[in-house]
Amino acid sequence: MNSTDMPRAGLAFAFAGAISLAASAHAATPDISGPWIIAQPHEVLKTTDGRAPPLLPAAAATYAATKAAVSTPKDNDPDLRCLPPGVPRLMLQSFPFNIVQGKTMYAMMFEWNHLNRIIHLVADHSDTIGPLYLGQSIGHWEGNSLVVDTNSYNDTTWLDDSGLPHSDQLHTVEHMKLAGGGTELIDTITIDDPQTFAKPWQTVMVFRKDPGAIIKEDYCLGRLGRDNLVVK
Amino acid sequence: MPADIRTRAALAVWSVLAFAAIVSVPATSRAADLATDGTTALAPPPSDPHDIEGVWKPGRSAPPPGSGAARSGPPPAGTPVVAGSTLVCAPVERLGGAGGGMSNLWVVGPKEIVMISEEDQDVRKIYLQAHHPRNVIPQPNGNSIGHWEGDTLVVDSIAFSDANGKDKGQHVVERIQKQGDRLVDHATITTKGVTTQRTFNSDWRPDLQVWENVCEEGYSKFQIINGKLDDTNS
Repeated sequence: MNSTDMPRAGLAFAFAGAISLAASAHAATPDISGPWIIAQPHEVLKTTDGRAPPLLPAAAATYAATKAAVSTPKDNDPDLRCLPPGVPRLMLQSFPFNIVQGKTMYAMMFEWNHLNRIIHLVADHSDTIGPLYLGQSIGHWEGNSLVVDTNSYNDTTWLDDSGLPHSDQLHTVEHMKLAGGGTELIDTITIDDPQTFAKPWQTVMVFRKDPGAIIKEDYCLGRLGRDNLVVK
Repeated sequence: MPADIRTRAALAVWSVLAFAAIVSVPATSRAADLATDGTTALAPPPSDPHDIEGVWKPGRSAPPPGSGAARSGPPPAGTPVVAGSTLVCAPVERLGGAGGGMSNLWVVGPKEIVMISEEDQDVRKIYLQAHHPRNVIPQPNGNSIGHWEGDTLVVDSIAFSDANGKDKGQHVVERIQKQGDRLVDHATITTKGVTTQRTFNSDWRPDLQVWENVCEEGYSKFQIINGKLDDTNS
C-alpha cells in the first residue's frame, strides 16, 4: 500500500478485531529484544513510494521556513537543546537502542540522552496522559507483527532531521516485524496528522541487530559540549 | 523537667510508637491505607515474586492529587550551577530510584530488567547474566548483572562513574524482594574499602504512570550568567 490509497478512516480500525495481548503469550511472541540501530540514517523522510509527504499548504510554509533557518546556525533545532526528538525522529538517529520485552509493556531504551519509549500492551488509550514528546504508545501482536499505536504527542518535535513538522494531532501506527533471520527489524510507520498532512502516509525504517552493543548512558548536553556553558 | 526536654521525650515516645505502628501494618493492608488518601483501592501486585513489573514509588508518601505523575518544573532563577550535578541534566546514580516524590517504572524481560526513574528519566539496566562484560565502560549507574535466588533478585553492580567519567571504585550488591505491595532493596555499598548498608523501600502504585520528565526543558528558557541561572531574558 502506498500513501495515495490510504483512507484516514482506516486508521481508526487499525486496532479493530481480536487483540491478542502479548501478556497472554509472553513466550510465544517473536523475540525482538536486544540492541538495534538504524540501518540507513534518514535525514529527510519520504513516503514508501519515494515522494515528499503530502503537506498541507500552511505546514509546507512552516517546513520551508524551518529549513531556511536550519541552514545557519540550526539553533531552531530542538535536538540541540537536548529535548526529546519525538517519534520517529528519535529512532532515526545513529544511536543504538535496546528493546526489553516485559510481560505487560515493552521498553525501547535509547542511548540518545538515555531516553526511553514505553509500549503498553493494552487495548486502548483510555489511560493516556500527555501531551508528551514521544507520545503514548499501546501495542499488540498481529501474527508476527508488533502493532504500535501512538497518540498524545506534543507539537514541539520534528518528524525528521530536516524539520518536517507536525501538530499535536499526530497519530502514528507502526507495524514492526523481524526479517533477515532476525537480523533486521522492519518498522512500517503510518503517519496521520489532519492539521499537517492532506492524508495519512507511510514510510519504512529498517533497523539492524547490533549484537554485543551496550547502550551507554548518553549525556546529551555533555556530548554537545553545552555542559561547559554552565561550568564556571 | 524543662519544657524542651519534656517535648523531646514526648517526641521520642511518639516516634517509637509511630514506627511500631508502621511496621505492624501487614503489607497487604498498605495499599488500602493509600486508598484512603483520595484514590480508589489499588489492585495488588502480581503474586509471582519474580514479577516486579510496573510502577513503584519510593517511600510511603501520599499519592499526588488526581491521577498521573507529578511533573518537575525548571530550576528557579539564581540557582547555583554545579558541574556534574543534576542541574546540568547529567545522568545520576539512581540506587533506590527516583527522588522528589517521583516514581520508578520496572520492566522485566527474560534477559534484562530495567528500572526507569521518573526523575530525569535516568535508567538502571540489570542484565540477567553471570558475568560483567570485559572492559566495561564506567557509567553513572554502573554495570549491573542479576540473578534470582528464590524470591530475591540479587544484583551486582560495578563501574560507577564519577563526574569526570572515571570509575569511582564502587561495588554494590543488592538483594531486592517483593514483600506484599512493597519492593524492598537491601543494598551493600563498598567504596574504597568502606562498606555501608542501605535499605530502599518502594510502594506498588498501579494507579500511577511515570511521566516524561525532561530535565532540559528548564534550560530552553534560562541563560547561564556567571555560573547561575538567569531568567531575565527568557
